[in-house]
Amino acid sequence: MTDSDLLVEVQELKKHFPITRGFMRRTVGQVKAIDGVSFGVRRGETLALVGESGCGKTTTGRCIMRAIEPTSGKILFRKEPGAAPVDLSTLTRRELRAIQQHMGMVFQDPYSSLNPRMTVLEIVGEPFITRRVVASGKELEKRVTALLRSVHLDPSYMRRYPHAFSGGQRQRIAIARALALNPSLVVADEPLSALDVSVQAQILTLLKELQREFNLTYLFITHNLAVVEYSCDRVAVMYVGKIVEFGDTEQIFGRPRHPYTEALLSAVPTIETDGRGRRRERIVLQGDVADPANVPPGCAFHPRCPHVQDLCRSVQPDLANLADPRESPHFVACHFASELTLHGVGGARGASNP
Amino acid sequence: MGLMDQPANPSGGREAPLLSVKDLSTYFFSREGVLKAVDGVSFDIHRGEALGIAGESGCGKSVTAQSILRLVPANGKIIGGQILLYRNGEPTDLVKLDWKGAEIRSIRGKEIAMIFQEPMAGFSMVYTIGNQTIETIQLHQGCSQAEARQIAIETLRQVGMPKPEQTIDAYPYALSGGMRQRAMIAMALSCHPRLLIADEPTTAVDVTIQAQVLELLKRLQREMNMALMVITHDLAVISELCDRVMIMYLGRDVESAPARSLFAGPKHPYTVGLLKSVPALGRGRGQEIAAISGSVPGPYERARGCAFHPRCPQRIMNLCESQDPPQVEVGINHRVRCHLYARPQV
Repeated sequence: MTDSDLLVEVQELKKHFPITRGFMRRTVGQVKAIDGVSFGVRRGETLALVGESGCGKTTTGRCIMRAIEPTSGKILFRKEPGAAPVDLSTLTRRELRAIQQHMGMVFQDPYSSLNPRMTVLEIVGEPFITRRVVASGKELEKRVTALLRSVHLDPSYMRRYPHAFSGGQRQRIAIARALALNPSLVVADEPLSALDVSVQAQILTLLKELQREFNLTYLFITHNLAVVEYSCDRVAVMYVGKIVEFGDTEQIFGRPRHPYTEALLSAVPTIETDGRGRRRERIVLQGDVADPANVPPGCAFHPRCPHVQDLCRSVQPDLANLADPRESPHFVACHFASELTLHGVGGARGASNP
Repeated sequence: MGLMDQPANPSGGREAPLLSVKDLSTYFFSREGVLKAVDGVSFDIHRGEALGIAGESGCGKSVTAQSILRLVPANGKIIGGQILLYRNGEPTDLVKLDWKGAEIRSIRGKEIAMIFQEPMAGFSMVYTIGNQTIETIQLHQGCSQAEARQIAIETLRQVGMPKPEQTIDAYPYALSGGMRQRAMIAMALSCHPRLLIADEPTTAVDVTIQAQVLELLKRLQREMNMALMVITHDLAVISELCDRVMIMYLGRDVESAPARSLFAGPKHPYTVGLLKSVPALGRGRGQEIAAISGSVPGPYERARGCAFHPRCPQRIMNLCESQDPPQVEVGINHRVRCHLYARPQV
């Protein structure tokens, strides 16, 4: 794995939102939404960013799109394998526009992400118009038809407004719009959460199919760990603005090395299909996710960690690779990662508890 | 199938249930037509039992709860059926009560309490948690302000609220999501209801908080021997909490069974589809998921015959699209509304 295989490389990304108070909007503090996050997205993979609300996963996705301005750090983007990387964080608005066509975004709620006053043709066709890539209305219709076909929507509906479509169909429209300019990276922020259970599988299958067809790279932002296990190659677990564990999904879910990841996996309710009782004891974390405006010293997870020791209260752990050199890297930010025996979920490989 | 070790009660039939809903129908009337939100649903809840009602948006699960509390919005009406609440063995039909009369108001919050999905919506923003809880206690238990305050603090402690003496004077917005959900549960429990209705109790909170709330509900139900009715779209939450499950689709109870037998052997094609359509944690990448084709139809586009037939992979030609499926008993306390199981006996 060399750097040139990475489509996006995020280095020490930070986003601090100021807390202002009073008439003069004096800055009285910082919300450290992202506080030094580094990871790479390989071309063609699906990378998941998981974590609870306030962990910075959405902010990270938006910083990569430059939908919000990062405070510091680099976001290197390579259009083609081997091409010279461009640092998105320093580009001007105009330079950025040229790069942004290589990226698409799908949002959580298809009821608010589509303009109710625009027809499907206008919504999906808008990127072509704003970038002046189509010559005529006819060509625009042709392009939109092809896009709608690829997300399995009937193109004859293109003159209808979003209200005429169900949640699943709206999400398909949003996906078609994201794919309009043939991007290589798609940032999908909770694309399933607002959909009915029976429709989620349809969208998940569609995303997989489109990935193969258009050779897409996905940055999948979600809190749904079952979906991550099913559809993502690698996963970065975030807690209060930092990555606490990063590596292959199978490895991390089978044998997590960070107590937070273990607790997250354990917290997910499961359907008991065999008529017997639960086999594993649930780890119930006490307290709430730490406040990013007031991050605890040392390891941010220490007030909730069942394995906490004195060191954790004062010294911040670094993200270090704990995997055997022959295996794919497995980064963990925990002082005691190599001493703890943690349990994952029983996957096909049976890597976890008996 | 694990049916042998079912306790004699719940649903064994000896003891009268706590609540018995019979053939409940709640319709909404608007200019576009009649919306049959709940259309002939029956179920019993026994003392100390947990019933889960599951289904997708528009299946009528929330309207069922609103009907029980007689809080159906103004354009809706209970047009048929009975909701029998048993008190000392004597049934009271809640459908017959005046929805704003004294009797239903003495039941709401006292005998039957409810918690909501978004805890912000259950609280008023301009009063403290304590104010609102104390008001409920004073109303139903007729005690003094000071006594009510003590009871409120005790209940907050019982739901695991840290420093209850201080949090009681906090405003709802000052609490985190998990704490607000706890405060909401405390308010609902403050008058020791016999039935607690929880409408999507964990949908708005994070996974680790969800685990806390689920454990809390389990513990409280056991300690207080309270009946629980959980309304959710998440079958895993039901599997964790409930003894019985009822699956609803467009206003009908399509399948109803003890939780163990339903999850081990779902019968209705819709239930089978629902269980297959979400990946389950711990089964790896190789697991097969299958979407149910199409989507839940709009409220006025309900199909004739079996409402699920346009999406059903096993529909029977010339039967499912024209005739209402009968309710069939396929196992102990396991009922399905589907032609597939009725045919052999015809």
